[in-house]
Amino acid sequence: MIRSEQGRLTSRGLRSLVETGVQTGLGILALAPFVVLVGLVGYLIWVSIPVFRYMRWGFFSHIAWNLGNLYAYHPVLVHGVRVMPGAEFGAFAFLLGTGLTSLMAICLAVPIAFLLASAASFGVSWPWRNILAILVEMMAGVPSVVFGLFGFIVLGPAIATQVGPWLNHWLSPIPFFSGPVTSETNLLTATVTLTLMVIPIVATTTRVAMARVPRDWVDSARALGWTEHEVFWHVIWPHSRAALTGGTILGLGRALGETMAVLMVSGNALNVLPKNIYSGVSTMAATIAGQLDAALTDPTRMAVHALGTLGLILMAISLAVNLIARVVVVSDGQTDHAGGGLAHGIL
Amino acid sequence: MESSEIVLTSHLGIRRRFGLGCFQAVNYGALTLVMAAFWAILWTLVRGSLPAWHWSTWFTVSQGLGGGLANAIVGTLWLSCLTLLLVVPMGIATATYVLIYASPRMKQLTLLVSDVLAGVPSIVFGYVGYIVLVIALGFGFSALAAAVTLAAMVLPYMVRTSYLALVEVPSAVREQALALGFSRAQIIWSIMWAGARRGIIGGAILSIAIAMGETAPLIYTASWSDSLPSLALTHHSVGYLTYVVWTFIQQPYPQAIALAYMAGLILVLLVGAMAVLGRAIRA
Repeated sequence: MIRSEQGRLTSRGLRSLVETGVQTGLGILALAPFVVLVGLVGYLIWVSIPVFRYMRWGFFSHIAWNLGNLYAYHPVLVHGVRVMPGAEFGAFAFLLGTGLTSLMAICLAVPIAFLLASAASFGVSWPWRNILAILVEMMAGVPSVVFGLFGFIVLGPAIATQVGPWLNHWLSPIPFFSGPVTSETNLLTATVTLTLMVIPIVATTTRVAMARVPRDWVDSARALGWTEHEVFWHVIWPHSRAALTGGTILGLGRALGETMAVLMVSGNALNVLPKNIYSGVSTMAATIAGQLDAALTDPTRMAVHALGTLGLILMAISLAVNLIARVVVVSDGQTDHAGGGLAHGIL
Repeated sequence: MESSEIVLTSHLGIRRRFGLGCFQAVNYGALTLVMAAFWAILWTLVRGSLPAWHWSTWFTVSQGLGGGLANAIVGTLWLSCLTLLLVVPMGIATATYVLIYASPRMKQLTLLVSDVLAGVPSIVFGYVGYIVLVIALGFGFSALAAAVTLAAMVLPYMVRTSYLALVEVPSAVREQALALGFSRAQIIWSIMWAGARRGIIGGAILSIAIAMGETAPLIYTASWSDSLPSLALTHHSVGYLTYVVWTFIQQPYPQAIALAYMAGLILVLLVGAMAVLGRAIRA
């Protein structure tokens, strides 16, 4: 009697031990997303403090990015921060580069993506429809460095020899579009490369929403004698508008944070603002990747911290954009697609 | 929505026929455009990699800017395996925890944090991974530093796909198990995880496909190595395919350029195949 009672107690004790163990174990592992996010944000804020103490608001408005005299004997103390003499960290050119490349890419990508989505969900006949959907999703999965390669090998020369001179010839009255095309890696190449990368994301998000419009509505509209384009404008489009907005913002998030492709095709201009679309630029993401090596030579570590500050600003912008996209896409009832706003087109 | 039925347009007025014509022309134009772009990318890679289509490319390691891709291919696979080992337990555990134990608010917050993480640019992971793992924790350029960075980056995808798979398990089955006296741990193991197996495996494959195509988080964590990766987790840099694409293409040597194309082609096919596989398993 007693033994069996004890036996039950021990097995129950073991069972609750396992229970607690499983819950605690899972709970600890479930902290991972918090640890990563808090770690990233916290660390970047921490490295940014000396940068802002040194540069103040000039970090946002200055154009020059200069590590200072690295051969100087001693670092100097400015605003309580040790820096090399003459060092200056202005992010304005990179902010502008990121903004220009992303916004121009979005402007080019959204109309094309919209057409693709309409074609893949409705506009073209069925074998092509499925082929198109698969192709677009495959393009979303192509690694960004491959887009960089394509931009570097194909788009760059084409823009330098054909597209650029042609645009310059026809659009030269518009100031930003006129100027000699001197290099293959420039703002225009970066924009077109980014456009190629953004199209699949916008197109997929929109296509899924369009394909979701109930078949009955489409059939009813057809039964009324409407043609394809009338069905599209009056039935499909009103129900996929929000998805196009959400997809656009997701695509913008991708374009803002893109590193490798931009690093390969933008020209990586430092200390200058782009004069026209044929000049080299650099973005925040590409600068972090491209300048980290050089920044490590700064004995005061200030240059590395300044790159971290660029990362912090970039992250803040990307997070804001993604949260907005999430609100838009979620309010459209698309949570189960794209994981409620995951920017990667592969999912 | 098969709409291959013949549409008679002769009865329509000129305006409506014009509108229909424009709509169809524009749609087929978009179709042509994307097919052209896709084949242009693929054709560029195939044509450029032709000089490297030789068995030696697969079985020799790179020497400077020549040689083969063996070290890069093995390195990419090695980093992917390590990333998988790190990210799968964290992803499944997070998804399970929010579904079984967490309060509704905690669940929302965790999923929000995870989704927000997906919006962080990859170079930010690379930067912090380099400063924290490579330098501060002293891992050196290594497989471990690279895998931890990649795992942090693809964690939100793993969490989200696991969560979607676990949600699909009917709650009736869970309640029946409770009624039979299953403990929570038993329910998780034999009901939730068993039922969501396909979705979770598919999600893991998709997450790894994303990790394989990344460059920015690896440049400053794995660095680059000409030799095959050793089993050492720290202080041994690792080669990987995306690095070859990035650096070799900008060299003036035809052999290096062919290798860069080849690495790009392998990446596209590998990532594409895994994306298709992952999606097929999840469906």
